[in-house]
Amino acid sequence: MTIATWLQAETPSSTTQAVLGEVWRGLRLTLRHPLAAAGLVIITALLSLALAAPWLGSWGLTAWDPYHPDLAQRLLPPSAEHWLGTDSMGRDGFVRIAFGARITLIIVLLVSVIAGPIGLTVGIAAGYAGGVVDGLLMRITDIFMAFPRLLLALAVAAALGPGLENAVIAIAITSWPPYARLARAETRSVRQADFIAAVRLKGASTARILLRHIAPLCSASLLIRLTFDMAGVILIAAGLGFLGLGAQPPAPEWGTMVAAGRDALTDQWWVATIPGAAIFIASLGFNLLGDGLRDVLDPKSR
Amino acid sequence: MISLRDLTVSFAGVPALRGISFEVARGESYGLVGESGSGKSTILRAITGLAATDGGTMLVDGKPLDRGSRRDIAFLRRVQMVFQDPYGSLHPRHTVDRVLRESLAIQGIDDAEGRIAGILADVGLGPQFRYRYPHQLSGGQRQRVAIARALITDPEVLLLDEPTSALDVSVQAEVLNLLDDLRRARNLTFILVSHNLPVITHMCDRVGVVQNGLLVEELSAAALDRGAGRQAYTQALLAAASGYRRPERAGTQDVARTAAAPSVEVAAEAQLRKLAAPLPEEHGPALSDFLNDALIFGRSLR
Amino acid sequence: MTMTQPSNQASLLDVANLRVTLRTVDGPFDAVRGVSFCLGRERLGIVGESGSGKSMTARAILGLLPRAGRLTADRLQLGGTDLRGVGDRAWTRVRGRRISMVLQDPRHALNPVKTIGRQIDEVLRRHLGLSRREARARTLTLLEAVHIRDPERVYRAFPHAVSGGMGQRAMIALMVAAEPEVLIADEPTSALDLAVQNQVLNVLDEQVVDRGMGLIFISHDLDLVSRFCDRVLVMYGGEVVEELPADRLSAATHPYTRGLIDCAPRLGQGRQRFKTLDRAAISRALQDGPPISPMAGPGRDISAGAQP
Repeated sequence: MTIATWLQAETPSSTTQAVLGEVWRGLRLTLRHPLAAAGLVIITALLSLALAAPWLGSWGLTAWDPYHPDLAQRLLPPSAEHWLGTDSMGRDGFVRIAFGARITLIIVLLVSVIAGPIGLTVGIAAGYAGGVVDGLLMRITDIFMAFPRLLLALAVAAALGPGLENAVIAIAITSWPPYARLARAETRSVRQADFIAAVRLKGASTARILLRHIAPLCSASLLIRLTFDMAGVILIAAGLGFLGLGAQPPAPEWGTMVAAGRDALTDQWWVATIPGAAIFIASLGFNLLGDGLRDVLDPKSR
Repeated sequence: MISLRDLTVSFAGVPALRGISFEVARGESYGLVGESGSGKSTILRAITGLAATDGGTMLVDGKPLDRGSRRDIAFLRRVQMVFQDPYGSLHPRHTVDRVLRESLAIQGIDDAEGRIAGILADVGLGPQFRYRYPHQLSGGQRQRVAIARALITDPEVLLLDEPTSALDVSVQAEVLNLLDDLRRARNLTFILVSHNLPVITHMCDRVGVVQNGLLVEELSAAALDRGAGRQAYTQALLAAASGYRRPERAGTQDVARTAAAPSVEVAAEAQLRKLAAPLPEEHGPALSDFLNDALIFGRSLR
Repeated sequence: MTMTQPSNQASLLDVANLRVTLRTVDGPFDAVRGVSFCLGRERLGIVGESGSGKSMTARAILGLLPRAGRLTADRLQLGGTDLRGVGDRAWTRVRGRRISMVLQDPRHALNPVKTIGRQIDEVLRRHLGLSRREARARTLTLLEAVHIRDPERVYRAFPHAVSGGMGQRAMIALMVAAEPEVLIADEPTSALDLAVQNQVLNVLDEQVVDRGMGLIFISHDLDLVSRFCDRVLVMYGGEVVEELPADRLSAATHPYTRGLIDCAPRLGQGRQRFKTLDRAAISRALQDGPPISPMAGPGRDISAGAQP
């Protein structure tokens, strides 16, 4: 049987088949929405570009190095040789965008991996425990949420000093509170469900319930929120880069590239505009994907 | 096997159970019948520790149960529960296999493969259901999974909270037959809660009638089936269970009909007057509305 | 299947070969497959289990299908109006005024942020053009007519503040306020306690008979429908498998109807096992052909003053 038939089998014969079948179903649902499909396409393209970046040269696509300056080639407009032109140091625009995609996606990934679990843990603990613990954790969350995100990220990054890792930490610190709120709300609504009572009656420990039963249910809305937030993370990272915090030159971070192209904006528009467009497209892609994910993961649409 | 004495439970100051006492022998099927809100489900929740008790004692096989929610693993091995809502009693993200496997793992029972296959066969689900998610199952199939989950750890007592109220009538018949077969085959002790009198009389040996947190009458199921309830409330339940009767419109009086069953209406009205006398405000609009309407319609039947 | 038009009585609602198809991820699904019936001034019951298509039929008639639903019918006439061609704006004049629906749970079907009185007033002012004072007076009369003892209080109350039975009666008042010709009731008593069910059913009955409306009563409870209604349609898998007068239910011949009758729990049967549906026989009967001898045209007129 074909892969599609196997995935759509009404009676899966193993856990793997069941899980993959659900993923497949979700994928088909996503692709039914044109906007969500567009988001998926954009993100896939971004990911492919980022993954393929180091090998672009060996595939003959380009002979350019993102780091090696070639002042004879500086500030050239887009052409057949340099698809996206060159910057003020003569480095090929397309290659720098490609490598910049890696940095962008690394930042997005690291922030998600740090902020997501922190928010999830705080939220679930608050939602399940209730009472004083809930109040305490939520007040801490409120404190973090009270600061404007960009400002707080700036402050932390400035305090830690420039650099990619510090930028990631700064953004992650400002990103986790919404996930805590989300996880807490989900936990509170799920806490009274019969299936939680049932597994408790089988003797499940609190840890097992929180980890294996409640957390997976929170993960759906968390993932959707994360996807939407990635757009914001990209923008904050670009903002930090623009201001000189975050990834330092010569690293091809998109925000830094926009800053570097500021002076040449009127005559050599592509130096700043192309990275700006990349930021825009990436953010848009994540937003559209988030929309599609919400329709797919929302149990009501089943 | 199970003995309850003067059990009292209240939720936020509102009494739900006001001194319930009854006993269930080993291997017996005991029914609890009453309207919604009468407290019959609360009895089951008190036994399983899902609701904390304020007073009274509960004994299972001679061993007393904790007032609060602590139940040791040995108790959970002997006593299990099937919940009412098939759409809420299974974790939406767990396959059937996962649910059953986890139940065994928590209790430390091995031979998962054999037991899972066996219990699925026992509840009438073939192996093709093993890796399905709840949203791929019908209501009746979900209840069968819930029954399988309860029975896979070989309990001696099964508490059933309206197990078929949310199912179609044809599916209800099949599931109730299944429960009866399983009870005989495994010599289980049942406490079955339902608002549906004929279900109780088909499935149980003895019945307790619950009204407003009190056990107003205890009788054999056969007696209830014959309509031999002594209390007015029991008679009122029997009258309601006999189905809709179109009342006489203004004009002709069916003397024969009113003469045939004066005891039901007289008894019901007497009961209603007794209830209407002290009407505490905190019971809210529901009770007073019901009583007022019952009095109006009761009179119109004459 | 052809339906002969009765000569002595106009049918209020005429449905022929109604089909509803839903677009799903896994392909098109036929929820309703060729349902036909006529409704006169009578109580028509539609009985089916979940998935039988009974609620979808009601929604199709009222033009309330989900976006993924498509309706086709040879005939869908409400009096002189073809309901197939009604546009969105025209529907606002039909729904409530000429055909109305009572739903299962008043807490979900009534607007939670408006008082009950205000909602009924709105219907009266919109459909009957009454002034504010006239509407209020009429609303209070309506609430009394559905046996609500304290209409002033219920007028000012919000839906969540009244009990289930009272809310359901308020909904009935709301739905008959504009004096529709046809009322559809979709499981109106399923969410209510047994004690309250009978009262609500009596109210429904009074309204239908006094106003000469046609009633379509949808339920999963065959016993209830056979006692309350005049005629019964039994639906299974999107089709009408049997149609018969309510008092002749025991003479049903289709295996599904017989199965439904037999498997319902009843008092006085002792401890015997429940009978279950013979699903193989039902499948065979469905494949074999059209349902057994449908009645041509609507049943007898039960409105007050009509000849039996």
